[in-house]
Amino acid sequence: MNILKMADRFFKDRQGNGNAVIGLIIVLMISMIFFLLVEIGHLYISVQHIKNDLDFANMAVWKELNQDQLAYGIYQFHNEYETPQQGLNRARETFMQYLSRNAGLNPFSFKPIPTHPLLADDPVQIIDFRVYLKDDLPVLSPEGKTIDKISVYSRIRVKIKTLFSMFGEGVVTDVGIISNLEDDL
Amino acid sequence: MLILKLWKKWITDRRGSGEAITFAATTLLVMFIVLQFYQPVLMLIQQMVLENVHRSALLEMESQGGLTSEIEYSIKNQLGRFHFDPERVSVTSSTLYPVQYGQPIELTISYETSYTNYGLRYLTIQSEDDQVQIQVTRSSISREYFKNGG
Repeated sequence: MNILKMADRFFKDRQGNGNAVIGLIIVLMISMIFFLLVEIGHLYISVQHIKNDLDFANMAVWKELNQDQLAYGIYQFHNEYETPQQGLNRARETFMQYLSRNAGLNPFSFKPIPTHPLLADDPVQIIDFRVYLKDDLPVLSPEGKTIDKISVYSRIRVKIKTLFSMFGEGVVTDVGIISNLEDDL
Repeated sequence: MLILKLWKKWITDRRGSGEAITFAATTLLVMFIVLQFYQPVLMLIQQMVLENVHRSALLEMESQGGLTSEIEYSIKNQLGRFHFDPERVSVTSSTLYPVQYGQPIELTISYETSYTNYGLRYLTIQSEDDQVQIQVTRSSISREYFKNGG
């Protein structure tokens, strides 16, 4: 009975309503900041995950190097029956094959698999793919970084799923990485 | 007797009862909000650790030509340092050691963990555990040349 009386007094009491509303707004604002921080953390870890996918896809390109020429210290992708462009195309195909495998994409449409934990349904776009061989060095990457070793540069555009739906369905972002291949030889 | 007297005095005191209810409700609400964030943050940390351990293990596999027992031990050891239960860690590779230069190598690390959902029921905070799996799978190429063909 006492509790009921207290509740009755509480609901009839019209003093301090303003304070209660201000308190509620502060609690909501703090919650929103928490949500935002967790969402930023989720996006950061997702980008790191995709960067790793990209990095290993870049490094897989190395398998296409012409091994016979490599023995003489010559770095090229094409063999004696191919043009340099055909060798580079083969390297790009290997990159795409490993990227689709690592990032969980359909190898033809480049759409993420339906149960993908990080990526939304939109297809992943390859914005840039470049191979820097000995003859090209030193050179500046599209982001202005100096490249002085044999490297592969790639950049893709992905739509990352958000953790909380209040921030929308997903965030579209570009992820790029330069993978130094020379040190791994 | 003293306790009963204090209790009677407290219960019949009509001053500040509204504030007491507001304080109790706010405390419950804030506790509920904080608990709601605990599990997603823990999952993010676990994912980040698993990602980093997987990366270093796959790089090691590249140079050794596949998954060896030393690499597997190292993975479990590194995860153990971050309070992962080694019994729940699974390390698998569909590409068997030794893998010849230029051939694909693959590594999967998965971890079974419990995800606690908190809910409010009858003005009390109640928890419910779900089993979830965090997994990282990635492929690369072997950089080790085996003279006898691997």
